[in-house]
Amino acid sequence: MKEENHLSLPPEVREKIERKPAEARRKIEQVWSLLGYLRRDAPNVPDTDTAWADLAERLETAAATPARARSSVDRGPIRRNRRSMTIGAAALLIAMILSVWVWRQPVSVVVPAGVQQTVVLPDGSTAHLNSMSRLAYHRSFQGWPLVPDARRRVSLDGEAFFEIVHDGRPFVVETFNARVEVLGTAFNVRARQGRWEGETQVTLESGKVQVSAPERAEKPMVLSEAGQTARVGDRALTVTPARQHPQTLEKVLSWRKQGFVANQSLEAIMDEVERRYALSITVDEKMAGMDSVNVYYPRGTTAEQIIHDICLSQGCQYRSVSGGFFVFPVDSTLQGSGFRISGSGLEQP
Amino acid sequence: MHSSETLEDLCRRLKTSDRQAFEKLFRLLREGLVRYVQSMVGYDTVAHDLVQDVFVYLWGLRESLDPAQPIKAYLYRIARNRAYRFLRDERTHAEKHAWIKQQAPDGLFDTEAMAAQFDADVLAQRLRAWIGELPERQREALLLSRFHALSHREIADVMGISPRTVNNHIMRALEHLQGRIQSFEPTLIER
Repeated sequence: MKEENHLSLPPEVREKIERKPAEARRKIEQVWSLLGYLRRDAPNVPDTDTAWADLAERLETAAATPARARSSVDRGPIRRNRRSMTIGAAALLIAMILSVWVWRQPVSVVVPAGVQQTVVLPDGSTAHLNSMSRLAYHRSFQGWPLVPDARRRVSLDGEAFFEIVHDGRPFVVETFNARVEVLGTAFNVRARQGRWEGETQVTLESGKVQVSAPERAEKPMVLSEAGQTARVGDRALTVTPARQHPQTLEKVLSWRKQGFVANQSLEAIMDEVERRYALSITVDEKMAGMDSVNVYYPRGTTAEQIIHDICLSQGCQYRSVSGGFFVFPVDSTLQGSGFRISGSGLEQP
Repeated sequence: MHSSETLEDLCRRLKTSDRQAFEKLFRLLREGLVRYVQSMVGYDTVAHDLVQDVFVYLWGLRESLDPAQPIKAYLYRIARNRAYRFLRDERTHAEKHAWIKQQAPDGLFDTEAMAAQFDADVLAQRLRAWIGELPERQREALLLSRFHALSHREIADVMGISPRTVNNHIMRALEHLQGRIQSFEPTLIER
C-alpha cells in the first residue's frame, strides 16, 4: 500500500494560520498529525490484486461485446445528462411561462388629478384621458404573443375621448358596466363611479358606435349621429338624440379644451373640480343638499373662476386655503363649521 | 510516493490503450478511491464495486483523455459522482446516517469511557466519531486533503467548489477536531 500520510499541513492551511500565535499553530499541526491514526483500519474489501483480476476480466468481456459494454458503461453519464436536460427544460418552461405571464399583464395608463394626457394606442388610435382616469389594454392588442386579438379592447375607468383608426378589427371600450364597440370613429366615454355618479356616458363625435351593457339582456344601442349620447345607468340603457341637446357634443368635449361643464349638485361639481385641478375643496356642511347648479365653460378656465362664479350665483363665499379652497354660506358665522379665525386667516383646529 | 509527473505519463500511455499503464494507475489509485468512496457511502463492498466501475469507465473513455488534466482529481470526481448517484438511487441516506451515528455511540462520551486509558485504537475510534460529526463537505475536504494527497486545487475540482472554500472547509474541520481532542485528552495536543 502506498503511504500517503502527509505529516505536513497543506500550504494553504499553513498560510492561513501563519498569523496565529505559535500555540494555536502547533495545535492545528497536532490535529493534522493525530489524524494519521485513522489509517490503521483498512476497509473490508478484496485486495488490489484480486480487484485487478476482476477488472481485467470485466474488460475482456467488454472487449468481446463492445457495443453493449459501452452502453452499459456509459449509462451513468447519459442518465445524468438526461436529468440535467429535464431540469433545464423545466427551468426554460417556467421562464417562458413567467415571461408570457408578465407580457400578458395589461398596459395601464393612469392619469393623476390635475393632468390630462393623450395616449397613442398600439393601432395608432388615440385616447385623450381626462384627469384621474385609468386606461388599460393588452400589449400590442395581443392577448398572447404573436397572436393578434380579434378585437382591440381597452378598459376605461374615468373619462376619455377616443379617435379610432379603422383597421378592420372592432375597437371595444369596456367600462365597469358598459361596452362600446366601434370600427373607425371618434367618441367620448365617461364612466366615473362614485358618490355622485354611477353611469357610463358615451357621446359620439363621428362615425358609428354600438353601446351595450353586458350584465343586462337589453338590446345594444347604436349611435350614428354626432352628439348622440348613450347612458348606461343602474336601471336602463338610454339614448338621447342629438337634436334634443344641440350643444351636447361641444359640452361633453369641453374638457379637452380645458373647459368645464356640469349640471350637478354643488358637492358633485366640487368633486369634479378637485379631480380636474388636483385641489382639495372643503364645502361647509350647511351647503349640503342644495339644488343642482349648471355651469359651462367652453374652453380654458380655472378652478377659482368656476368656484367664484358658482358662489356668485348661489350666494356663498370661498377662501383660499392650503392646497385648495373652503366654500361656505354668506351668512355663516365660522364658528360651528369646524373652522375658526386666527390672526392670519383660516386654520384647521 | 508517486509524483504527479508519473501519473501524467501513465495517463498519456493509457490514452494509447496501454494496458500496463492502466494497471499501474489502478494499483496506485484504487485503494485511496475505495477509502474515499467508502467514507461517503458507508459500505465497504459498495465502495469496492463503485471503484471497479470507475476504472471500467476510465478504460472505456481512455482515448478521449486529456493528459493535461490531472487524472487523479478526475478519477476522484467520477468516483464522487457515482457515490452520490448510489446514495440517491438506492435511497440509502437514512442508512448512511445510521452508519455515521454508529461510529459515535452514546457511550463514547461517558465519563467512564472518557476515563478509559488512551490507546491508539480508542483514539482512532474517537477520531472517526468526531469526523462523523463534521458537516459533510468539511469532512470530505479534510479527508481528501489528509489521506488522498490531493492539493486544494484538485479537491476544488473534485468537489466542484472554489479552492478558497476548500481551505475554509479544512480549517473549520481542523478547528472542530482540535476542540474535540482538547476536551477529550488535552495532553494529546498540549505538551
